[in-house]
Amino acid sequence: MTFQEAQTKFSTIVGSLTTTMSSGDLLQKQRDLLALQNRLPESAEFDVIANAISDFSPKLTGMIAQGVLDSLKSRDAAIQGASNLLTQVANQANANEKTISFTKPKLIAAALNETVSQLQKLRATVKGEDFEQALAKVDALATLIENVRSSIKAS
Amino acid sequence: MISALKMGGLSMGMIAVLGLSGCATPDLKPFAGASKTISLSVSKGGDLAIKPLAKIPMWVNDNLVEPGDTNHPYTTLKASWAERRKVMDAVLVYSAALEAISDAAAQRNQNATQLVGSVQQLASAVPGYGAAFNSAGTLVVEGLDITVEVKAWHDMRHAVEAADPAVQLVAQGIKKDFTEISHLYEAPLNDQLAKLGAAMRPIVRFEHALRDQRDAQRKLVEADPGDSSKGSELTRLDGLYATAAADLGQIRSERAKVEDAIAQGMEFFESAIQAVDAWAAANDELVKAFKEHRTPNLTLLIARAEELNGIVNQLKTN
Repeated sequence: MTFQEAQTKFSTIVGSLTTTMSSGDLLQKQRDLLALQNRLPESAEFDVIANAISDFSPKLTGMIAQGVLDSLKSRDAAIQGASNLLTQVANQANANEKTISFTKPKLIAAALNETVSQLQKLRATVKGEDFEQALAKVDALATLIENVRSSIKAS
Repeated sequence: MISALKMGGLSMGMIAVLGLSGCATPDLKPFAGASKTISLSVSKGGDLAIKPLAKIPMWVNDNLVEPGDTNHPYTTLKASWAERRKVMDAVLVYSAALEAISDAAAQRNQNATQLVGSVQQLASAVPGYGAAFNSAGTLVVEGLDITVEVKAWHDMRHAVEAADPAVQLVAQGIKKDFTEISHLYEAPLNDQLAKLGAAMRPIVRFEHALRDQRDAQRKLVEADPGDSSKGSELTRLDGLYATAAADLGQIRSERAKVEDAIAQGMEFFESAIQAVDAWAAANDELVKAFKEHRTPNLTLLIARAEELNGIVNQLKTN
């Protein structure tokens, strides 16, 4: 590569830049400049082009940053809208989750367990042949069972 | 009295009914997990591409703006990226809410199972009463379970359908954002490469010149081993060459580090974009699965989220 060729390549890349280029296009130009720098012959006369690439690259970075910033800003409103919609959906879903996770079955289970314990006491009373007390316990148990049944029906 | 076996049979029957009706609420843990990973990667993307800009002077319309200046792009980029973090917070809340519905339904099933157990115990304790109780209990439990399952299913269906336009919009936006901030990530690193490339040139020439001089001197010493002045000159040139070679080695190693950083960053951004794609497709798949009364296929989402998670963790340790 001659100095003239290297200089022409550098000028072509820099000259092709426009203000409407996307950040991706600008990045490609930066990569092209870097590739040119890597291909430059070792001789000192080419240092001026290597240094020009090194000096120009940060300006491209500035242009890329500005392009990205403009692009991000242009989507800010849409992103905020989506965020609001997701929040609304999540709020509704959370309200539904609360409706689902009520604990009534647990209460009924506890009542039934209590019934079992009463039955065991009743059995012990009958075994002890205290029939009067057993009868009272049967009545109490019947009430308890009826309560449990009502609870189940109500749920 | 109804036997435990019969109770189990009834419960199995209940599950079969749910299965046939296609109303079993899907396990949305993978979706929630992937949402967390993507949210984390949005933060990571900002840390990688935007945070380092805070410390470097930047060109804005032909003016070099120092860090801290109000015109420095970092401030506005940071604010804009904060909006992305906010939307990812909304995504997290949304996916957590879906997961909570799923968990609530599962919890309810567990409660119902406890109830079946209690009825069963009662039935075995009261001869003659068991069947009636059992029958009543079982019916109620079946009824409860199906009611809850169907409600959870409908709640989830409603939520994923209502959220889908927002999810697709977020995914589309975040993908573009990732692509663009990947440019922002690479550009300053390219500046470093260009700087190192220019700085390296005189060192390369110096190293080559010294090597040639040293090799020539070595030939002179070999031709005339008795000349101590030639030997001393070779020793001096060897020392100079070693210093130049070390300088060149250091600058090459710095360059390799920058190139590695670019490659790692690109891998992260590509993986994040693929994960966002899979995440949006997964929400779409949820909508379709609910419509078609089938289990959603979240395999790709799980794979992409795992891959991205691995890269994020690797970046954390570097």
